[in-house]
Amino acid sequence: MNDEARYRLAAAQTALVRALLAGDAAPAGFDPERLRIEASALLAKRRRIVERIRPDLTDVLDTRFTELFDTWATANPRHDGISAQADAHQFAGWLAVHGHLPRRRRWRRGSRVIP
Amino acid sequence: MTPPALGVGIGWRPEIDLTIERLPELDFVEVLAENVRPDRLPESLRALRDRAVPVVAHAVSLSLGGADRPDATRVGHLAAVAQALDAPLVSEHVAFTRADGLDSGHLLPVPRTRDALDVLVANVREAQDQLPVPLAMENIAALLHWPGAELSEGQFLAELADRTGCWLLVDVANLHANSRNVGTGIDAFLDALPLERLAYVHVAGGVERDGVYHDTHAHAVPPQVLDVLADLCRRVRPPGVLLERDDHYPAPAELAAELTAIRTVLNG
Amino acid sequence: MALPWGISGSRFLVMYGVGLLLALGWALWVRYRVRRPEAVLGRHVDVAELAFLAGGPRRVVEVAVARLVETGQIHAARNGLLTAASTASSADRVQAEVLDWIGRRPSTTTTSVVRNVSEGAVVATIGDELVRQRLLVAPAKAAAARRRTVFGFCVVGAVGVLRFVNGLRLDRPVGYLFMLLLLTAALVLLILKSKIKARTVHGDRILASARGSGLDGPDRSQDSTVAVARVGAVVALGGLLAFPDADIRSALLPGSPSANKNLSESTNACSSWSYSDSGGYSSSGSSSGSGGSDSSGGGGSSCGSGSSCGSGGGCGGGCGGGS
Repeated sequence: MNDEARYRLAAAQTALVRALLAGDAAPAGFDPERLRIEASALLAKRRRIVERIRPDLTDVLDTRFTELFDTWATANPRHDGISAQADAHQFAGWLAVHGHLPRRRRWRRGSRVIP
Repeated sequence: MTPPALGVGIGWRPEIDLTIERLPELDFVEVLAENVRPDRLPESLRALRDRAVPVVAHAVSLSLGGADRPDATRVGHLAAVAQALDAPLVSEHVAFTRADGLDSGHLLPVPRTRDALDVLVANVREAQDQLPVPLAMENIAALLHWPGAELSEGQFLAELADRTGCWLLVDVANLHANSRNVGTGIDAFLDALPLERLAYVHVAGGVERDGVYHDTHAHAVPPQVLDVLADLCRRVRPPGVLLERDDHYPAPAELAAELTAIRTVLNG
Repeated sequence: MALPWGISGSRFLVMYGVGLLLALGWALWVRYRVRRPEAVLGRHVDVAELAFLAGGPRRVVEVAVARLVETGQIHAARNGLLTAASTASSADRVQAEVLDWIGRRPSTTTTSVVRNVSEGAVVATIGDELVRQRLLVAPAKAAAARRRTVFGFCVVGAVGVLRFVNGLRLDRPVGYLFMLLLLTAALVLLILKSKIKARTVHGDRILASARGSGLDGPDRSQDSTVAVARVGAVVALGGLLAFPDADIRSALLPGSPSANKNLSESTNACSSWSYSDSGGYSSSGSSSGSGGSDSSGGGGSSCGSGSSCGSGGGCGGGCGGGS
């Protein structure tokens, strides 16, 4: 089996994935508008999954959730092997560290924010 | 070995497990392997398996279209799930999900070059060695178009099947999406395929928004997608057709009606 | 030596005893009257009202959930999670509330829906109407009645305590008086603990005739609308434990099978409920009950599909008619 082929493929796919997840420049030959739509779809998918796993965060952050999540997610693309739960946990941790969560723990019926 | 007869079925989802069990005329189901623990099968799947309703194991995270060799743990998990469910076959996608240690969480298209095909063929063969049942490969919907394609979508899939002996899972909704979004010719695609290797078909709903077709799995199956199914049925009688619904589940009667519509096209 | 208060010890004991009997009579009279308001010319009760009569506000929501599941508007998964169908809607106000509640959450359980919707305004309105129809005792009235029942004992008891203290001061034998005071205290506790049933006797009658009319009997028709109506009636009278389909029943009832078994056994087999154990509801007056037991789903008591209401006797009013 030709390892060269794997290396070339890896390089090409890395360029695409980094453009989609980390905001890198579009690789040659790709329609930038389509890339933008796809990147946005991937982000939305990741966001929806975190929303489902951590409804307490959406409760607390309300309308700020989307903007904060998108900021964090673009700077922190998900790594191979990180589960959805771990991903959500990392986001919560980032929120806490950057002071986006309320200082005092607000208890709401049935929910609790655990950074 | 020829693909077994499966009939008309629906993708199994935990939120509607009882609803699915109660559907009239349910021939088979498909379950997402990543969501199943082989040692702790959900009661609903055990019930279906015990009723002799075939359960197919479908995977999304093997990333066989990627540059890395298949992850033995992931393939092993799929194999274990298939065994626990007595699955007649398993399926995956002509796609990759990861690169450079980053996970996109989504099925991304593979460049249709001979190089990429060589890698894919090698990966599929390696996975097949570890799987106890035949593997069917599925075409995906893609918004993105790799530059420098050397093969058409149909040719790519056909050659993959010929060189690995894998079966085919034709997703007519994805095919419709690609015909709308990246200009894939439906007839050309279907003509290129070795349809005697067709194991089953995916059908799903979607919606067109701002000139782009989204294969959402959360809407009713549009008539255009059923038309593509009809096109396929004119060439070969699929051993199985599966409805995929992931969200916004309608009432049971509506689900049953979708299955009936599929059956009508199949028998029509 | 002068007699304290001019009455001999034994005479006082007798008077005290009589006082106790009068207080007891008063208590029983209050409890009797509160459930017997002047009857209003009855009109037909619908399934939701029947549910409220049979099992309180929570039962109303259970019926709504049961009917929504039966008509396919809610998917009940084996693990107990409820999902609203995408096209679900209902003209029935309680069902609409339930759908709304479920729709707003990614996944919710029967317990959560029942608990929350039963405390809402829509269900409270049903209770208010039943109070207006004199089929239910108003929660505020029930609470007030409970307080009034012990009034007599308090008066008698107060006199007894005064006599007791006086007797101690005068160094007279107070043994028997002390025992009577203890008896008084015990009676007060007993009366306070014994709950006033929420239904009036008129409500009891309506419920009994509903049971007797075989609404929850075996279904002999093939008509699906009749089947849905029957599910509503069956659950109204017997709670979710009576839901006809075994798989869905265990999907809707949280907890282990043994916990669910306890649900029907531990409750009064004759479906009498009171505000304090059914988690009271806020009507236009103040609500009487405490937040109430967190009993899963069930509105306190239910007859369960298997159990009969006891052959005659022991049913404390209203289970009458054949079941």
